[in-house]
Amino acid sequence: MKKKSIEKNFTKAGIPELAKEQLEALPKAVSDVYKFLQEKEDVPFPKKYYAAQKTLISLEIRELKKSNPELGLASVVGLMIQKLPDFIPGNRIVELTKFIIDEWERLEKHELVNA
Amino acid sequence: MIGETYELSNSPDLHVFTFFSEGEKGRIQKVIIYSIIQENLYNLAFGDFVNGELDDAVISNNADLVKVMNTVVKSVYLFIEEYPDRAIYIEPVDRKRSVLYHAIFSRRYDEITAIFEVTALNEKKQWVPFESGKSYLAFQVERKSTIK
Repeated sequence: MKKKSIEKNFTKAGIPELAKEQLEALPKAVSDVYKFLQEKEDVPFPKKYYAAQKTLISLEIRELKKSNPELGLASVVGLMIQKLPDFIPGNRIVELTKFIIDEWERLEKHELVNA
Repeated sequence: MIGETYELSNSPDLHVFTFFSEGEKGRIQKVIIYSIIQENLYNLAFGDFVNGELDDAVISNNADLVKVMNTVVKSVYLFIEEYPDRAIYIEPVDRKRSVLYHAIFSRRYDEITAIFEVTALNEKKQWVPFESGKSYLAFQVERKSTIK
């Protein structure tokens, strides 16, 4: 699978990882925030971040449904999940997978109603 | 062009900015974070850094809203200048912030669109060019391929 080189050194907060010496060279106000973020197990303001992820996923699923209406659920999940940044924790991947399935099934039901 | 701003401190990669709002309620540390959400798309998160914790639920009411927003806009300029192939995604969390973001894009339309392409997500969930006076669910800001 093609890897996105840009994400190799991202922390779980979705920001690039800085070396200790880089952190120490920062003004205190920034280094305090950066240290806090680097220790976090999730993105800052997760409610907002995952709401945004879901908005973007739902838009992509709509496009996918238009271009590949017969695609199987496993393929849909695979296609959508592989686009997520690598730092997304397992529990969030589970949450987003459920969201992807619900969205795809909702569109399928909508299609049946309108058929 | 941006107007009066606070002095920004930033990480070397320009993903984290911080500044101090100074107003009626005292000195409040603000943070702006650009977290990757998709390839070349970054979520703008903005809030207070209080007692070593992030807080985006409060609206500080420090009587310096314009200056604070100018400072956030400045960070957008800096981020996009450094990473011209990246776009910034902004989704308001509540009605207050939605009104605020619409106001910023509407009032600063000419100067923002001189440099940036602003697309907005409408109620039909379609990305369209931002138009002042209309209501949107989210915004995307990216550098124009040709700057006026």
